[in-house]
Amino acid sequence: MKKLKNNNTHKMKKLLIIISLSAISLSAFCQKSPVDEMFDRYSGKEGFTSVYISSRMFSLLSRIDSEDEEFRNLVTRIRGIRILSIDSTKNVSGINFAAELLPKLTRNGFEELMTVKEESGEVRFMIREAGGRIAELIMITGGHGSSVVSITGDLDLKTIASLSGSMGIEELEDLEKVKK
Amino acid sequence: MEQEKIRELLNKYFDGTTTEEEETQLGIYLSDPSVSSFVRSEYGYIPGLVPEIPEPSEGFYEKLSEMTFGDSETTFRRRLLRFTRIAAAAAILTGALLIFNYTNRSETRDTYGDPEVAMAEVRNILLAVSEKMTTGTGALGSINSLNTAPETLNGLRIINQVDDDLSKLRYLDRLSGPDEKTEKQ
Repeated sequence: MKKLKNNNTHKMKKLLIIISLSAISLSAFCQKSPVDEMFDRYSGKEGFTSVYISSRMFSLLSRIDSEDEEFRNLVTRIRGIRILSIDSTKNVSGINFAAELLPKLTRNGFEELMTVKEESGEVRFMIREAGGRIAELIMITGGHGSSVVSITGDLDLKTIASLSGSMGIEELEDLEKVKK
Repeated sequence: MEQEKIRELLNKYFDGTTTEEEETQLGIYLSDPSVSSFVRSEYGYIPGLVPEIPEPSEGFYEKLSEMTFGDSETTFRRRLLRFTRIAAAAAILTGALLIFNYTNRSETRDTYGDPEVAMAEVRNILLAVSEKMTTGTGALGSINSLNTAPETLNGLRIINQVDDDLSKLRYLDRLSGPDEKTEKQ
């Protein structure tokens, strides 16, 4: 009798676990990233400018002949770029991208790469790693004309260094050594 | 006679000493229309106190017996079935809601339709990002200059070594100095 009861409890637990796992995986699959949420919220609204270049466009860009081989290689590794900025000519107050996005990014596995403090405001670089490579780079600029730039793709540190082009690539290579 | 019997039964009823049979009988007496209106107006509510027990429905006792003494496997299956139905309904509702949200995501369109324009914009964006990054990593260039300093110090160490060797030679020179002077004389 006791054995039968244990068997029944075991079956019930198994069923409960299967249902819970299915619900969790489904909700994880349908969950939006913090950047998606932000773009959905502000994109197309008055006072905000958004730019979106999709992976499909990047696949077209990789076919365009370019003399700059390094830039071409870089483009083939990018899957998408999104920019959201506050129009400086419009009076949009009370919006702080950094304050809104940073806590959510940290919770979603993003790490801070660096913070640059300028006169005009802070610039924060956040990265999300996947399989030892950088899958997403987010640049959040604060101050007047605040903006968010999200670059997705297969971005390792060498790729980030190559973003610099002729502008101080040596320094970015130094960054690569520091990170290692 | 009947009136007396009723009164006797009523007294016993209010003393709480009536049996079930007597209470049923009292109920029957009082519900009889021939009983005087006074008694009926005073105690006519008593027949209502005797509850009418409904006849059990068909299969009632079987069900009762199964619920009370039935084997736990059958009970468990019923519970499991009920639980599964509720869980399945909840899962379908949740799934439908999530899929509805997922499919209703605003499909963002490309800002640029012309690849050439998009390419120029990508170049601008990447350069802007790299410019900001270079501002942040520019200070790392000065870290390299720190490596130059130890190399200079290594050079100084060689000079010190040469100086030490010269000191030894000077010491030997001092030791051998007077004899050489004598030989020259």
